[in-house]
Amino acid sequence: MTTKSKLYKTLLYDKQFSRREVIKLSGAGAAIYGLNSLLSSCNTSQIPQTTIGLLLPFSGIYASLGESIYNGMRIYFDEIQNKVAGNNLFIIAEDTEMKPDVAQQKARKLIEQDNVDLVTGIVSTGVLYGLRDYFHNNKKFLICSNAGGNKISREMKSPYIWRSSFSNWQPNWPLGIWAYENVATKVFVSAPDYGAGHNMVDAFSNSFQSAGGKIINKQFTPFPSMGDPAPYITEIQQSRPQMVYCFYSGSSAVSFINAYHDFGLSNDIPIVCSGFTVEEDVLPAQGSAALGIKSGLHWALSLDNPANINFVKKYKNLYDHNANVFAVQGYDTAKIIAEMINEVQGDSDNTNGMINYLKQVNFESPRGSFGLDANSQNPTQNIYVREVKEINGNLQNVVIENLGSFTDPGNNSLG
Amino acid sequence: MNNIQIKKLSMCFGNMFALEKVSLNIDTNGIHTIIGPNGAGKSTLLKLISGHLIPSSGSIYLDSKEITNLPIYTRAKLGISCTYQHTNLFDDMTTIENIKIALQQQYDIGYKITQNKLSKLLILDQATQILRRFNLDDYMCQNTNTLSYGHQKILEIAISFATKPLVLLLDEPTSGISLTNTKEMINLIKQISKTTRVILVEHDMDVIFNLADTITVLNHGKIIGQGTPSEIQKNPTIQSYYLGHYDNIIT
Amino acid sequence: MNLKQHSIEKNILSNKIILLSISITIMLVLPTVSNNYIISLLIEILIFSIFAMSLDILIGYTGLPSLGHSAFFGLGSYIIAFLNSTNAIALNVSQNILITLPIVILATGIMSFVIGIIAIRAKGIYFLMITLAFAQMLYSISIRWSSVTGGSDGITGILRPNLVIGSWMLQFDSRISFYYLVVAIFFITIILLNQIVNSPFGNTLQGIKSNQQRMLSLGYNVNWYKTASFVISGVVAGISGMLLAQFYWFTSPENIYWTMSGQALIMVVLGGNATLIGPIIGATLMRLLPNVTSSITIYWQSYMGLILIAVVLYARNGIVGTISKIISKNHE
Ligand SMILES: Nc1ncnc2c1ncn2[C@@H]1O[C@H](COP(=O)(O)OP(=O)(O)O)[C@@H](O)[C@H]1O
Ligand SMILES: [Mg+2]
Repeated sequence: MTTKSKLYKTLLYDKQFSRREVIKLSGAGAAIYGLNSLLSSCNTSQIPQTTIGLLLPFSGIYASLGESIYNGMRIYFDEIQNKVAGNNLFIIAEDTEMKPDVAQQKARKLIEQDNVDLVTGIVSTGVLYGLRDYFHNNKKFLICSNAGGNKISREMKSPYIWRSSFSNWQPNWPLGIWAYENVATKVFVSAPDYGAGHNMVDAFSNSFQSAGGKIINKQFTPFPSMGDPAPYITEIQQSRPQMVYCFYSGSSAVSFINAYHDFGLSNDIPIVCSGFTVEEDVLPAQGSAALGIKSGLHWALSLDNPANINFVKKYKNLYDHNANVFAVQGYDTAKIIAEMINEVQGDSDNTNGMINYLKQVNFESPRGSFGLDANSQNPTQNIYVREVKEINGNLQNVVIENLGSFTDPGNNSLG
Repeated sequence: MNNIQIKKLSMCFGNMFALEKVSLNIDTNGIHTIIGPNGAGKSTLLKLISGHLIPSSGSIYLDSKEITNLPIYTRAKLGISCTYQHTNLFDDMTTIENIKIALQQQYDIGYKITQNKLSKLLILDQATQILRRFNLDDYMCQNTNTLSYGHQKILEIAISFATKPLVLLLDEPTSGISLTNTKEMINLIKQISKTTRVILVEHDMDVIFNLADTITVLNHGKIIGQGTPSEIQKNPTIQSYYLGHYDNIIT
Repeated sequence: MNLKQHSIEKNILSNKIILLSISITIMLVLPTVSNNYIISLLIEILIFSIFAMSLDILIGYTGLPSLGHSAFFGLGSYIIAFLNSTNAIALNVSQNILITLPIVILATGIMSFVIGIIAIRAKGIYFLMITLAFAQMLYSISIRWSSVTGGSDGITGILRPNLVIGSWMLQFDSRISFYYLVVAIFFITIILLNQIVNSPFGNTLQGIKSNQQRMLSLGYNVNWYKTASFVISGVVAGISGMLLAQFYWFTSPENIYWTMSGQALIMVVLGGNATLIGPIIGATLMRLLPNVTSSITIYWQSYMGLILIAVVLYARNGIVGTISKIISKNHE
């Protein structure tokens, strides 16, 4: 146990260590610890420390998201010298491999074997929903730092599961009204045929239609792999809409937007989309094909507030590339966790104390004013309309309008 | 009983007739031999009877029951059993396991998930007896792929025999095996033919005249002669085809 | 010879019984000396062992290389979700395993019969493709038909079962009680499957694997037997899927995805096919290894790949097959 502690201490202070090495060594420590507990299950010494379990994909297609979130968290923990409530802070990272069954195993390991104080992370909604009953039934805390499935703020809510990132509803609902008022009144909608796709489309459609807009077609493409986007783009071309709303992420975002451009549609039919479609992780691969695309999200690289300027600069210095929305979520999550542990003086069994703290979270985040909503257990945050522009030869999401602060309704009444 | 009737049977591979309107009755006991040069259609005929091939036209009857299009396993259940020109055994099993698997079908227990001791012993005993009868009992626990080719060929017949067939189709059982094995084989076939009708494709003239009760001569997919061994020897058509050289009839 | 072989068989049998009772005892005592997390690992290992053993019936004993076995694993998990969960989708038939288990068996049995009767007509690589296609079709349905299946979100709130006979009730809610349930089902499965593969029916299946044409000419209705094998293996896979869903309180399309089939396939190949014990060892390694090593090296999957290549090239019969070969060589 002491060797393990030393490992983390040195690692978290040393910025030169790569993520891989941190995970590598933390795992070795965990493995040794695991062996110990197998041999003698009564060896739980009470050295004051706070341990956070981190469940993120470090392999597979979302590995870069996991890495971004982790990088963001490290910046905050460095800012507070890896100390919370007077304790040393340790992180045990585990790879979910994006598989619900692997995530289950890792969550149990973190909570039951490593005795972490709480767990954070979770990139995909499938993994989040899969873990929901485990955390709920065992009254363990999970602070979700990405996965946006609406249900966790609504019918699947648990007092022990809070989200510091967003709900899928959040960036899209305000965007619907804005698009109706500023872009066009008739829209063609396209998204992958899975939970998040439907969440986003439902939110956008709800406000777009109630503002008076018309949806001329809803296109749901195969998930997880869209395959050749050409037939879907052709369908859009043939129905000649005034505007396209879409949500894609990762490689489908690249292939969809690039094909849209190659078909020559980008000049005629404007795209308004969920911010992930053109976020910093995919923008370089889309290149000029993404120029002019307007999107709604709770953050933008170019946001002009002190917290963001500070964060973006630090991130770039440390990791040599631009920050993205996932890194910001990691950064904010780290702050929430640290302050929550401070609030209960390191006693993570004080669930009421932690819940009471979470209910009133409020601070200036790189996203702007940020708070947690006691009802939806999800952020109250600004939603920005951004446009992809070329600035000094670099493509950037430039904020063109702040739509104001939004909170998930906590039910399905608004899509 | 156990009559095989073949009516105007044709088998086409692409444009080529391997068999053309062959009609044949096998309704006497004993060993019926089919001879003919290589490519005459002998194996094809056996495969059509056993169900490994479905004819292009014509029909096959077993005791006036049409079997032309029945699947292999149904014909096997009706009592038609075949051996293969090239050995076709359960290579990864021992000799006795090969026999056992045939026996469990014979006793109709192949679908059972329980087996009492008595039935186990019965099958073991039967299998041992069969192996003894075919002089294979020394190789009982040997994997079949370690047996000599001659023994493999004998085992091939033993497996078929274990299913107690009514009609046994043998495709060149002596090809490629040693003289001693051939002699052994002749004896075995003779014995089997006492209880089972045997249709034998063979090229070794010694074997043929030793065993055959009737002979059918095939050439280019057609029957060119039929009769007892002495009749065939005297048949002028066959004489003219082969100029009296048995060797040329041989495949 | 005759007697000798008989006594050898008897010997093997009594060895098996001893082995079985030892392992049952270990399984029953284990929870008292290990922590909660170890128990959860054991539960997973046992469930995946059942799944892998079911695939071994197909691959190892019948020679049918399926890459769509997740179809039945997933099906079992979804059926129990429909039968008994707090989710709005559920029909809430019963929580009693004496009622739900037969329904799961029946439903996966019917489904595997329907798929099997079509798939077994294909051979080798085509069988692999057609089973994969069926599984991917079900996967796609599970994602698209979201009003019934919950779509990509999956179904939460699946309840662990109880056992009710008259007024007597056993609850398998807690982890430890659920562990004992899984242990019981694991041993029942292993005893049943062991019985099956060593029965005349099992010999028939192995005969089909060895030489299908010969089986036909011996009079075996090969397609019937292949379908039966497909159904048995599908049903057992369904049971394991049901257990996993109950353990996680959750199921999702990932349980039907081809990677789940791939995982089972690796367990079988790695441990040794046509052994039943091999898949258990394979499942144990596959579930433990990432837990111990994935943090040590994120490349564990690559190492796994290398190990698999080595197994396929140099130790076709997997761990168990290779070890027993070495032992029998030393005997000689
Ligand atoms: N499966 C097949 N496909 C195409 N041609 C075949 C096939 N089987 C046999 N033949 C042809 O049919 C003819 C008869 O073959 P076969 O019955 O094997 O002759 P044999 O009398 O030597 O046993 C030969 O010309 C052979 O090439
Ligand atoms: Mg031939």
